[in-house]
Amino acid sequence: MNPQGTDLFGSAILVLAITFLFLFALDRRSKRKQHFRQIPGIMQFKRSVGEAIEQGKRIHVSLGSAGLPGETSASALSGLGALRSIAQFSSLGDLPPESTSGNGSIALLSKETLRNSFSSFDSTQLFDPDNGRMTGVTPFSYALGTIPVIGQEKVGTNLVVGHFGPEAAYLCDAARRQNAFLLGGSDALPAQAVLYVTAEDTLIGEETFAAGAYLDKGLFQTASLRTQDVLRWVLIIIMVVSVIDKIVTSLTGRPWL
Amino acid sequence: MKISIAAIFAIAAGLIVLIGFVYPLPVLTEISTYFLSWAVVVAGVATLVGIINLIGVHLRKPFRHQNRDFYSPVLIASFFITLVIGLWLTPADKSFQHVVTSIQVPVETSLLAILSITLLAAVVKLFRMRKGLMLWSFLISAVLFIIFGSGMLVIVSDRSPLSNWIAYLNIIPLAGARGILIGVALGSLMTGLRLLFGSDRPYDG
Repeated sequence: MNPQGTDLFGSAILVLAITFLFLFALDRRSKRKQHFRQIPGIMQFKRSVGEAIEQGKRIHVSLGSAGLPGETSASALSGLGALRSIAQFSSLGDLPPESTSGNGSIALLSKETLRNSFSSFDSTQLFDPDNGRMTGVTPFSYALGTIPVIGQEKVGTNLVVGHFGPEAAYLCDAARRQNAFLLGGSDALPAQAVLYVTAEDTLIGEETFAAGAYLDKGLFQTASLRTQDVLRWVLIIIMVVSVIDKIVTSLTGRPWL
Repeated sequence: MKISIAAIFAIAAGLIVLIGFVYPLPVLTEISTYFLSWAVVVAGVATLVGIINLIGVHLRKPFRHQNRDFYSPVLIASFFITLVIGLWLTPADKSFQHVVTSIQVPVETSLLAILSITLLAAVVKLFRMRKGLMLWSFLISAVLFIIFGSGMLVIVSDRSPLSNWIAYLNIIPLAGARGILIGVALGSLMTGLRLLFGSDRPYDG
């Protein structure tokens, strides 16, 4: 596909995504009945959050080292969505959640997310600005700065969602030493492989971005999950059709489409 | 849905940048460039705020009643020594760069070496954490592609029928990686749209 074709295809997918998003958000039936693909990692994480709150432990959300503006910031922003829901669950517990990131802008946004979540539940006494902090500016310094948070701050459950490299293994190792659950997901392939080996449960591919929406099933969140599923099928159909087209073309010498 | 002024500005800026991407009109492109350059400046200031916050946390850590961290004074001392020398010599100074990289590079390389041991130990523990077909598929493919990637099979000549099979097998991880990346792209798109339409608003809850 030439650059012009790529731009056209990208724009078409974007328009399709916006259309489906609004169609599903306006669909009244979606408010009544919602069926989603079950993601075992997220179900296990929800159970683990409940246990941590019961035991008076903290939930730690690690947002990775991506920053704003950047191509890899979407996973961290998705993690912020999950942080908001976790803060709302935690307002029932003794200890507020802790968020760490490797970038100043994401750290500021995590503070804002925590502050707003607590104020919307009249639990402003739980807000501590140090609970949304930057622990290092390079990927390795970030990972090493986060290890004491997991080890010393009574963390019972960890959610690792963001842009990571292989250094994510250090976070998983620290969580294992504390017998704390860790659910990991990243937009980077090396981190996904490392998390599969080291984390208790893993989010693969688009599941990483669905964590926030699965935890907070608002109207737009559920619509975005349904749109994501529809677009996945659209892409699968396009790929299968283009493979058939290539096979037919190579066998007959004439393009099928 | 209550929308604040910050949300209106954020959504408007996001829409202008998006429309500028789809329809690259000169006016939209110029405005988008302005917005992006402002974002870079704000991100720089945010990093500074993050560093001040980090130092603040480490200044309090040695005086806490529980979980005192005695490595924090080392971090604070290192930070201020680097900051003062950096301001004095400027970060462009060759000798300053040499000293910093001479510390940072060996430390990070050693961490990578430790990481390989950590991962090896994790693979052994993997048998306890995961069961079934996925575990064996992962392990077999990991071993197989380590062998392929190590160059041990260079003795297999280009004319051997085995080389064709190896070439076919090498496509499998590429296809898998592309599949995951398509998923990541879809997830990024939906996260972006949720932010753009004000459903996720980390800047004002």
